[in-house]
Amino acid sequence: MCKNVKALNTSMIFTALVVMFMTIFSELNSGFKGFLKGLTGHHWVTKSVVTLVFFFLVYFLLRNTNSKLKVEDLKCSFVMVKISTFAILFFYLWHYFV
Amino acid sequence: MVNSLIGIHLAIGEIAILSFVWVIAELINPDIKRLRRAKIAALIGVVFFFLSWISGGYYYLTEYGSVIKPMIKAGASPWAHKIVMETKEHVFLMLPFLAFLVYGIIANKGKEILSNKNFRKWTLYLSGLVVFLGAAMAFMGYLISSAARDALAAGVVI
Repeated sequence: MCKNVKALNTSMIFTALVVMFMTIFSELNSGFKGFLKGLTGHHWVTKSVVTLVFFFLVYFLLRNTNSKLKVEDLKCSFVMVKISTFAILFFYLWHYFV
Repeated sequence: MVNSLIGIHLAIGEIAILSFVWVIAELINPDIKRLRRAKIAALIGVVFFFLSWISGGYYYLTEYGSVIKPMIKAGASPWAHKIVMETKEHVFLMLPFLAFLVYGIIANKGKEILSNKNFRKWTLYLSGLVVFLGAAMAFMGYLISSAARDALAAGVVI
């Protein structure tokens, strides 16, 4: 299962991006948050489903591509998850205090 | 009354974090046997992160939103929801997949982990990031629970 680790790594990078943009954009745009809520009844459930489906969909689409995983790829996913984490944290700090 | 689901969620999350501490211990100086154990530990961690997602999500939807959230927001520490909980519930979405990526690397790139020091180092860093984010989730959970207890002690009733 999931033998192409390069595809898995790329999927992680894009998933971190999607989580970051989905989180921040839903707070800035109430229409988008309402749309997410409308799909499952709760915005967080929709975000969870979108994240899960997106991660495996990207892997599925890339599973037959080049599978050579380099150290730079690991660095990239490490940095992307950190950027996404701190972007979400600082966004909510800004949202609360400003 | 104490909700047992929050305790179950916490226990499951702690097992997931400890599994990745185990992964780190096995990867520091790996050989074939240690790599096999790291793979088992990572798989346990992945399963428990997904279980933590389900248990925490169920609690969030059935109890937190209707009882705890309004109490915290009306109490002395509304930031515990508006900053901490909001960050926790969204950052967590990446964690099971990051854990799954680490499992995928250990399961499929054993040769690189054993022969390439730099590759091993970055696999360790990714495992460390899983532990760091997991511990951050636990700490944020503590802050949220404390804020709810403070609101209760101050007589906030919703």
